[in-house]
Amino acid sequence: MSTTATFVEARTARRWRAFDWQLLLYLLLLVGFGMVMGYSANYQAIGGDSGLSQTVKTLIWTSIGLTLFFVAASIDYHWLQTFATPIYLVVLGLLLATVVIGRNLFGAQMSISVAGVDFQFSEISKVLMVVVLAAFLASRRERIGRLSTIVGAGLLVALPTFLVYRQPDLGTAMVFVAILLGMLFMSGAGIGWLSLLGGATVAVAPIAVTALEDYQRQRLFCFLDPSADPQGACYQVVQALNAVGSGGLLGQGLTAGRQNQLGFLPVQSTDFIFTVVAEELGYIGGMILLALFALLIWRVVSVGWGARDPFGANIATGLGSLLLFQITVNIGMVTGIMPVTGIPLPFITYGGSSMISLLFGMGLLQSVRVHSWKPTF
Amino acid sequence: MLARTDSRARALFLLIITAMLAILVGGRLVFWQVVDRERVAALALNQLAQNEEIPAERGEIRDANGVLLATSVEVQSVYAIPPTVQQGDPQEAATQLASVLGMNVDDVLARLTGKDPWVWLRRRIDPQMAQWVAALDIPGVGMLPETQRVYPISGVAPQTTLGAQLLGFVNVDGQGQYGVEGAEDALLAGLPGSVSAQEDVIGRRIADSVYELRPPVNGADLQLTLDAGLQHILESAMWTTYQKNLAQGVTGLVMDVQTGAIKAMASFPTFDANSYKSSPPALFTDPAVSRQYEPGSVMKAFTVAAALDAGAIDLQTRVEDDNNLRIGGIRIQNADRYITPRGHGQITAGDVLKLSNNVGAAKIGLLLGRQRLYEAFKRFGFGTPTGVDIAGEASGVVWNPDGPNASGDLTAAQNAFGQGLSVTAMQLVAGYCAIANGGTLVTPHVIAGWTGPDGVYHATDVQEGERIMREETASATLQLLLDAVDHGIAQKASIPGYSIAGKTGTAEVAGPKTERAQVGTDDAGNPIYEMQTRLVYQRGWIDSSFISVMPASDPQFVTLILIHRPVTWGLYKMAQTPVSVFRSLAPQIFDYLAIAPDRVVAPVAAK
Repeated sequence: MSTTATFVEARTARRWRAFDWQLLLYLLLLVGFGMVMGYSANYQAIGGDSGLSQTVKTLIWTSIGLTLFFVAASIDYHWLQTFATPIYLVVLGLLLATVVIGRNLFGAQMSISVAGVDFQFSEISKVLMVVVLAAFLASRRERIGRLSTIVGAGLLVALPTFLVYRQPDLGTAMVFVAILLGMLFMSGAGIGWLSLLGGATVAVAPIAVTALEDYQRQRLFCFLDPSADPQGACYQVVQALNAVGSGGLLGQGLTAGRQNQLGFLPVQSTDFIFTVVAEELGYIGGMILLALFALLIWRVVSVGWGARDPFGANIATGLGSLLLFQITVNIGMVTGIMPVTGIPLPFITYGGSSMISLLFGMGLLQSVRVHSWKPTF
Repeated sequence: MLARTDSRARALFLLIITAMLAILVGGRLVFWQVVDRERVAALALNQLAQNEEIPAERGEIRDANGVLLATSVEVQSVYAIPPTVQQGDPQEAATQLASVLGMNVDDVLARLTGKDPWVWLRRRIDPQMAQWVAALDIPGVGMLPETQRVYPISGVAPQTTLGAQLLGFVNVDGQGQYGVEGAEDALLAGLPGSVSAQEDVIGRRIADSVYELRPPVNGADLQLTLDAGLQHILESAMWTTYQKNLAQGVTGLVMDVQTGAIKAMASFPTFDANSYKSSPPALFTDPAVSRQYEPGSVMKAFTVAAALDAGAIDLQTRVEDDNNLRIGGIRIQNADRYITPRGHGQITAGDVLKLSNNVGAAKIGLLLGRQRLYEAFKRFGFGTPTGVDIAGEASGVVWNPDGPNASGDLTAAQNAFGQGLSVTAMQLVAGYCAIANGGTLVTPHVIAGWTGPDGVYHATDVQEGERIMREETASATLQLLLDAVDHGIAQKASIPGYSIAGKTGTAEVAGPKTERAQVGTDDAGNPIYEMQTRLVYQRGWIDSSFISVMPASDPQFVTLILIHRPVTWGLYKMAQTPVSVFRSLAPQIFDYLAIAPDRVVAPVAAK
């Protein structure tokens, strides 16, 4: 196995002493958690064996993702800084290709089928845009507080954001904006200008909302009043809350959640996977998952803190923003405090593109850690 | 590298925001999963629990001898869950279902693509259709067992069921309508139970889910006083005369004089209770209880009884019949005015009934006094529903002669021979039962008793009737009615070997008449005319009836035969009079019920 070979090879290198074992541990725990929940979510929906075949798929994706994790970890991330421009072009190319030849998935062109496997390039684009922005902001080190920095970064992100918004994939567009804001903020952009940008985003939001399709808009506002249309647009929200409530403190047990198993949760293995956790494992299960996420975020922050250069710190900041935003919005949506947008729960939501992309991103993070390490002896 | 202090502050800011969000999410989870758990979990369970109603079995209806008149059988009804169907191919599903169910494709498609989460497609289909629907196996389309009411005995007339108007029917939602089904719906229907089985989103019942079962309480089985055999005999006679007379309607009624039990009751036109939808709803009400009409001369028996009871007359009291009684500008004459234009002279109450004399009846009524006549009629049950256990009973109208709608003595005089007031056939028959049973007013009823789900039979509590006339009055009136058949104009009703008391009645029927009437004059003094529609007695429109007590020596039944608006010619000549209907019907009734003759049949030579 190449993975093992790389790993063993890497172990021998001295700088791999800095390898963040905790990060890997939390990732594996999260992936395992996700796999169990994915199995349960699909246990009865279509038939017992299909739950397994989905698990097998997740296993394959995870091994691909872990391979990329170690590959990325072994690459010196500084290397990527020089390739920022080509990477940006690749991102644009992938998203453009999705819009042009993308396959219709739930009414949106979000994936491209390659050899029978659907790839959602928007997922890898998120990670790649972190790299692009990190490089850009690092290059603007001396002028970081100026308006031009914010404008430049904004323009960089605007194009891919527009492309995913056109798919239409509101969720990913929002993630792009979140990454942008998070990285600008943490890299030291001028607070005044940043507030202006934030204000502008808030001001533009209503316009973006009016441009949405009816079904998207209705779904968006269900979190305010789920009972508005319980059989229609708000069906998912209502069912999700029902499931969360049914879970109670300890849950109904794996593969025993009624809402989940009886098909009342329409996209239970993807966007609404947290409802399955809440229903089947209860409040305790949900809290364990949130604790795992908190530990992961802590590792990401600590890598950023220990980064030797702005580029590495920016990568950590960007990935942290990505994870934090996705986790918050996804769980917020399920618990009825945020609008329903199609944002996957990192490592838990069933889906190869997200899994592979995020593990690759975590590999980059590991690389920042490994290649920032200064021997203390 | 960042300026450490600045980035620390920023990190702290982000940390605080993140922490606040985490607290919000955590608090929300605590709220949903711990605090509000009961309510939310119940909500979730509720939607799983398709609180399915288990229909109670509707009770059967049987006649006095246990012959099944109405029962329920299980059939399938097809429903659809449109959201589930729409996940497949609703167009294809609609096409298949339409051809199987014999429905319009567009109708089916409209239902399958509608907004409702659940719709009926077609209810109560036959078993062959049910097999086809099952074979289609379309997701989101299913069948539920429902019951269908069946009335197994065909009526005499084509496309009718026996006693359809008396029994009523059960509508598509399982509610009893009209007749006994309508009046006793609560008793027959029982209480539906409920099963709270949990079902998944496409309606499959979850095998090990919790069942909250409230068992249904089945409806009671009813036993009627009706005799299906007698009903058939009566229906045959009434159907025949309905056709012969080209009548608008006919009603026949046979009632037990002691209890008020209805033995047979038939009106035409009627309907097929098994396919009531193909009949005009006007046929659903039973005219025997719902139709109010002016009874005519059959009322004279009550006038005489009232006068005798009050002591206003005795059997020897004579009144002057000059065939010319003028009250308030209206001239009252007899039906036989062309034969005896100057009247019959001094006549007794017995003669009034024998001759069916209008002037005599009016004068007896006036001898009694208009208020006392009115009170007697009210006492005899006219103007109030009898309380029969059949839905849709009318009360009839008797005007207080001194009230706003009446004209004093004229009203009393007209009422005395059965005009100017309206009654139902049921009221008339109940009144004659009182004359026949010694003076108590029975409550007519058709339900003999009911058997609850526990198998216990509860007989209908037959109340001792209220005394409405003295026993001597009743027997005297009965004797006069016997004379009326033996020696009066209703002689044709006499049956060899049996004593029959009875009274004929022919009443004019009012109908709308539109005519030009002067309503005033204009300024120049020219008359202004307007077309006005009034209710007036129509030439040739009559309600012709015969009421009998049989046998008179030991009264058992009162029989009414009423022909509504037969085709008439001459002076109320008709193809078959109620008396001749009775003449052919009565021997069949005596035969069927094995009632022994109470008279020696006079040898033919003696006549």
